[in-house]
Amino acid sequence: MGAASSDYLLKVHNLTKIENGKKILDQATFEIAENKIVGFLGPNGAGKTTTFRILSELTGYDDGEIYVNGVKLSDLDRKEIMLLPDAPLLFSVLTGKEYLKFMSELLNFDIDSPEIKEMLQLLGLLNSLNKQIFNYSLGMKKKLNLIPLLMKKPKLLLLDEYLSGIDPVSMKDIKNILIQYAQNGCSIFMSTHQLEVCERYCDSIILISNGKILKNNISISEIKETASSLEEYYLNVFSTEEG
Amino acid sequence: MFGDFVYWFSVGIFSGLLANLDDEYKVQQLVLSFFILYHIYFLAERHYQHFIGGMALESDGTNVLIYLNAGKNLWYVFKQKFFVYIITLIPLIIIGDFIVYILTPISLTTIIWLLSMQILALNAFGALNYISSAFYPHFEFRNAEELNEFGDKKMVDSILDAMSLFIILPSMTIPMVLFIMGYLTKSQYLFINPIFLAIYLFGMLFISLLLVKRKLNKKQFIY
Repeated sequence: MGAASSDYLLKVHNLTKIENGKKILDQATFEIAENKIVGFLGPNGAGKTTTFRILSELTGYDDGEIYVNGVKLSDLDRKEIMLLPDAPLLFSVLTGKEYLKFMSELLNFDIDSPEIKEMLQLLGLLNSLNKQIFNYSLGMKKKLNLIPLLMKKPKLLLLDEYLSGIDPVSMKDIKNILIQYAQNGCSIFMSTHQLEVCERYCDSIILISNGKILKNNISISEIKETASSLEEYYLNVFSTEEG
Repeated sequence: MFGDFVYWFSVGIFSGLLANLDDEYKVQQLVLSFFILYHIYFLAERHYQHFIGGMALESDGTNVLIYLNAGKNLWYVFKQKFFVYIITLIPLIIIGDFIVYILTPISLTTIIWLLSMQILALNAFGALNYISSAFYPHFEFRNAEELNEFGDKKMVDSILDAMSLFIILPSMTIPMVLFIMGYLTKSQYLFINPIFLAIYLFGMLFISLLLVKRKLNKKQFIY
């Protein structure tokens, strides 16, 4: 295959992972283009989180190839794929400001840049920076968790159920930031069970079930030609699959 | 902080030896040797066990993903933890040595030598504490106290403890024992002992760090 060609930001070919004799991922093949927000949908246990862990190099795989801009994932000099899990990863005894300082040293970004101030303002965190993180609400924690990753600017940002538990106002703020992020040469690959959110945010979707890719990169406009909503399309695909 | 039965048993043995020594210089060397080796060994171990929730390689739990997600590996995490471990103990040692310097007729040169050796010993014995975590890391604990309770880690720790107490520490006192028993003259002892201790401790530190680095520098999947 022409896996090494760089027409896609991410190319995953025949990705297979076996755990305790069970195929968690079964020759999964999909692509993600630049400047796109792609939804990763499927039932619980379909292999979404495992795919994300493999892409962010937190776990290994048994077979297959992964290319980022035509370069093998394992040969990349810089971390180009970063994961944001559903449970915020934070040191809760730190204040928001201390956490950002810590992350700026870890990820090498400028803590005093106007960009970060703008982001804090937009996400409504500017006045809470001196509070310890354990006082933050879930939404605030998730927003704080997002900032360092956006400052690091990985080519591909993986959001694993990240948008669950976020109130509509915060969701709108995050949505604007993510859309802006995806317009600057980066892409976002997000898993969610909130189909209406996916329909509004994403350019296309990838459907996975039992470790197999059922639909690869179907655009939302294409879906709307065949079904009234993403929910209807999703239910149709899975009822056919089960049948 | 200052040890259990084994620590005080060692204090007893040293005190017994002291009671039978008439040579003031030999008494001083015996005390110094205790301060460099046994005292630091137990201090290093106790400090690690008491503050395991902050000092252990795995003490951040699943938050270790913050580092891995940033493209750092577990060797990077180890360096941060070990650095904190060492810098929290050095002030204690300095204060202890300062008190010894004020209360005893020990010379400034000797106290500086004592401090240097203690810091070297602290690094060497401190690194031993991390070997079990490097080989069998457990980030999945619910409570920091559990970190001492994983069977695989406990086994490695027990082996290292036994080796330290019955092989490493006694063998480090060989020049001092030879001196006390009269097999080495004072000048021979003063020449051999610092070199022997420095090489021994550096060697231990080097081997421990090498083992930890080789294990943690590999791409590891903690899931």
